[in-house]
Amino acid sequence: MPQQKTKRIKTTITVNGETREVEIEVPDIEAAWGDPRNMRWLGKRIPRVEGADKVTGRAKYTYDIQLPGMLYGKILRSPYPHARIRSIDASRAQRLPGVKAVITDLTREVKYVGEEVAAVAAVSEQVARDALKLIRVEYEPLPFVVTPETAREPSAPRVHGGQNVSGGNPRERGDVDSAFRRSDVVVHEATYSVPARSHCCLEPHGLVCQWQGDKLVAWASTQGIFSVRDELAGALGIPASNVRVICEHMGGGFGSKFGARSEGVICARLAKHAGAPVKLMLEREEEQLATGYGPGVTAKVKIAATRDGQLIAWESESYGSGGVGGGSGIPLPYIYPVPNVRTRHYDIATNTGASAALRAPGHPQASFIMESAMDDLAHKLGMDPLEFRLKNDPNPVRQAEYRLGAERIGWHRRNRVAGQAPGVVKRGLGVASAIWGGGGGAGSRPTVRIDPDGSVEVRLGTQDLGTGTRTYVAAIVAEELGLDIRQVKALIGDTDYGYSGASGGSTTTASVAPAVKMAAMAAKERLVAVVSQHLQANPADIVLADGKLTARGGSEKSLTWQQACALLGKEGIEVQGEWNANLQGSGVAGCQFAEVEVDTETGKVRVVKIVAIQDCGLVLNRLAVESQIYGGVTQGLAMALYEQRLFDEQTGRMLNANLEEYKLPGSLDMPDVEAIVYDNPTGKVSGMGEPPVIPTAAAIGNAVFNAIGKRIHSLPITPAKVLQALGKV
Amino acid sequence: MNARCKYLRTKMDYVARAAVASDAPGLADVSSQKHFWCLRTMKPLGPDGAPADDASCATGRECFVAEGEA
Repeated sequence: MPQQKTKRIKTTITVNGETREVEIEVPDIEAAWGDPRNMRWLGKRIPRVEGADKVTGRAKYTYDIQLPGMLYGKILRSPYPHARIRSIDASRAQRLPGVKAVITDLTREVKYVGEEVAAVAAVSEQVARDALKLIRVEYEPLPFVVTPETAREPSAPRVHGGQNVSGGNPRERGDVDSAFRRSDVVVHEATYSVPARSHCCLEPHGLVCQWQGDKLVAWASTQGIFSVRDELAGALGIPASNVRVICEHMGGGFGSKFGARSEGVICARLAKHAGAPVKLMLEREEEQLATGYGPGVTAKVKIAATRDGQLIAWESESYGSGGVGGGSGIPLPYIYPVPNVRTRHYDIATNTGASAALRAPGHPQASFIMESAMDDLAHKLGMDPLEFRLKNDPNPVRQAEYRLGAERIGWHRRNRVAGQAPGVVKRGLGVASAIWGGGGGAGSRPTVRIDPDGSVEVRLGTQDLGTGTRTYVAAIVAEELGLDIRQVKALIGDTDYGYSGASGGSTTTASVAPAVKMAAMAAKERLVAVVSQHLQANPADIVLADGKLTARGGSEKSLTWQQACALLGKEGIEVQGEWNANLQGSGVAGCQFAEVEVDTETGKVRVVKIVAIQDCGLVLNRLAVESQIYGGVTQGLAMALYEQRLFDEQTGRMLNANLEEYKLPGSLDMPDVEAIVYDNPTGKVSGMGEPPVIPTAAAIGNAVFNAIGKRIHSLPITPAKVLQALGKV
Repeated sequence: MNARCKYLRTKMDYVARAAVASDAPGLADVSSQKHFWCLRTMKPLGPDGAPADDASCATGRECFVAEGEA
């Protein structure tokens, strides 16, 4: 038997929670995406295959699932930021007509407002709400602290008993002190901060759980159907094979929807106790209090460059807060290589809900801090901020993107001296950059099935967060088999299909697409083998295009797709595919330019235009990539101008736990966004869902500086901060 | 390297990863960017109320169970 060809690739592995890079040997199976110029579907602007279902309401999200006899679950949450629970009396709730199940064993101590205390299932949402009001909980309030600033004080109440401030291990390379002391350098020092931001998924977290004997079916709004399956099975003490999780459509996760989560286990338990299916979807206030947020960070920064603009030293001390959890670290210095570096980062515990991964965790925060410092230093050096970046960013893709973006925004129109724009309403331009991995990994097991009647299905247990997974899954198969995309049924979002990983870290496309491509190639090979025999042609000469299989270079005989599939016999073709490292790549680059107007009398900032450029290697669906860019810019603009979680230090409550006082941009707040997909001819697919959110806020902040000549050091850039910076209040 | 608790999770336990090379030159504390949760509580707190993370969930903690153990 011939030995299979292998090759060595670099990969990251996680052992005992520690991630490191290693070289591994993988099968070297010949596979390539081919020339995008010759493709019918891939790389083009493909409307979502489920688009009509979504706009007509036919698409069923978890929120839309209705089952016969279904009950409604509700969770009683702590009104205290820290308290011991002395007793819970749910007897009145249990006696309320319509209440079918009550759970009171969730915790004996709560550490944030909104933590789960008890839960009920009832015949309607209103009865469930009424039942929660009848549960009597005796709390023993304990000392608490809800803001990072107060939590850092030595006398602050201790969130976990020990110190509130942890971390702070120095990370250092080069000779930082000597670099800052050099006579030929310009040094800039400042403090920048970014507040915590909520995910604001349009579809809230939640599930519908239905027991069928000892088996559980769960519809979940999730980024990982298999991770929900495994965690529910573990928590409920049943085999994973007894749990089926379905997520056909979902309304956003942004990093906050991995695993079963508290409400998942509660929902399944309520359904078990009640002997009926239960829907438990969280309300907006619960979303704000108990489903995570991106940590806020404050960083004291010192940065130096030589007088000709070469970065030479960086020092930062940063503090972040993930509430009762951690995870507030940020990658500093960001993007631009600095030879001499010293950083310290501290996590601060507070009595607020736990943070969670939020679209490019830590990167938008690092971007605002680094890019603000870069611009401030360029100002001191008397350099054009773009020229400063071109000098310090070695990435060839971003070098090209900077030049393209400068042309599209009209960089020559910037104020040569910041703040010297004429008039009351001043215009300014800013720039910032993005970096991401975007590579994928093994594990996805898609199946492609061709039936003798010509129908084609591709099945995979991945999930579409709204990013367009279903569409490119169908497009890849259609491309390979020479079909119209409407001839391919893409079935995803169900653990009854083949395994696929959770969707996070922008890894989905680079993990799923290669496996689907390999399955489609295998299906094509089988079909071609049958057809070539029938046409008495060489298999290599069979071309699949426009719904036909044609023998090129000889007889030119052809079969229609239906005629070809009819040759397959009753069993048809059913093949699996596996991930192929040759088809994916990592290391994507982007940058954004912002143009703003600042009203120096009202302090209001209006973003006029964003030029957003992003590469992702080989583009599968240009329309979907543009959509990701629009979404990223929207969230980045929200971060720049609007978002902040406000807490009352006296009560420990969040003051804007809604979508009214928690500010997000509306359609009238959105600028002209020019989304440019940079075609990077790697021939490999990479993920790009996260990077477009990274540089927007920093680019806007730099544009404001260019407009008014004053740096707003903390986000969001509110009218009050602008007026304060201008000395008008 | 310390054993990991079988109940500790981050999203990186679930996403497919390989060749996630990055040209980020930062010296970030990668660990501190992770968001952990405990499978016994479904929160970033263990059953004892203390933080659940790779530093805190270690041998000697009462609720700790090494991967592979019952």
